Amino acid sequence: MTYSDSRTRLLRGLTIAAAVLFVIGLYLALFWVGPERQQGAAQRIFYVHLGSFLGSFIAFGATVVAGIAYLRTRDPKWDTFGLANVEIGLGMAAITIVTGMTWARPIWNTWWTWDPRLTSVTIMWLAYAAYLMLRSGIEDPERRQRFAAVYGIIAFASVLFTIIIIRVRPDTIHPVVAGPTQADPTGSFEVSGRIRDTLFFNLFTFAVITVVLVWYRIRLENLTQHVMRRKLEVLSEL
Amino acid sequence: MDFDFGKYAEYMALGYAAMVFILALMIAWMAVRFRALRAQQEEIARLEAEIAEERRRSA
Repeated sequence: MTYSDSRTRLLRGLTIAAAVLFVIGLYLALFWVGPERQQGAAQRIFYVHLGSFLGSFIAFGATVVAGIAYLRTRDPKWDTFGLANVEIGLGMAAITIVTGMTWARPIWNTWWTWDPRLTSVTIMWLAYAAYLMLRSGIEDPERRQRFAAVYGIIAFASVLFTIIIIRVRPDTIHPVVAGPTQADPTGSFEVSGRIRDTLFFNLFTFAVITVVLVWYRIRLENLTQHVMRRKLEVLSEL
Repeated sequence: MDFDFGKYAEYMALGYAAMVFILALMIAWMAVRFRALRAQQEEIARLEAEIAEERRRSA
C-alpha cells in the first residue's frame, strides 16, 4: 500500500496536532478552569463527556454520508469509510457512557439509572455494535457493503433520538447544555466564562482526535484488504 | 503539588482514567493490527521470492 507523501504528511501533522490539543485540553479542564460550586471536581468530567459525544456524532454522521455515497457509486472505498467511522464512533460513545457513569455516581448517587437519555444512548451504542455483527454475518462482499450502507443510514436515527430525547421527555434527569428542556434535570450548571472556553476547546480537540483515528482506521482497513489480496495471489501461484 | 481540584476529585480521576484507557485501547488495537499486517506482508514477500526462485531453478 502506498499513499501520497502530502497525505501522509498531513496525517502526521494532524496526529501531532491532536496530541498537543489533547494535552492542552487536559490542562484547561483539570487546572485552568476552577471547580464548579455545586459539583466540584466531578463537573470537570463534563468536558470529555461532551467532547467524546461530539466525536461519536461526527463519526456516526460520516457513516450516513458513507452509506449514501456507497449506494450512489458502489465504490468500496465508501464502505471502508463507513466501517472506520462506526468503529471509532463506538469507542467515542463508550467514553461518553463511562465518563457519564463516573459523573452520575456523586451527582445522582448512582452509577446507572434507566433514564430516557441513558436508555437511548445504550440503544445507540448497541445499534452500532450490531452494525459490526451484521457485517461479520454476510460473506458476499457486495451484499455486505450494501446492507452495511443501508444499516449505517438507518442507525443514525438512534443518534438523533439520543439528542432529542432530553428535550422532549419531561421525566429525564439528564442536564441539557444547550437549548430548552421540559424536564427538571439534576446536575445542571451555568455554562459561562472559563467553563464555556474549556468546553469549546475540548469539543474541537475531540473532533480532531476522531478525524485522526478514523483516518488511521481507514489505512488499517486498506492494508488488511491489500494483504488479503496478496495472500490469494500467492496461494493461486502455488 | 498544592492544588485543590474540588470535592469528588476521585470520581473525576476515575472518569479521566477511563477516557484515557479507552483511547489507549483504540490506539493500541490499531497499532497491533498494523504490526501483524506488516509482518504478514513480509512473509508474503518471502514466499513470493521462494516461489520465483523455485520456478527459475525448475525452468
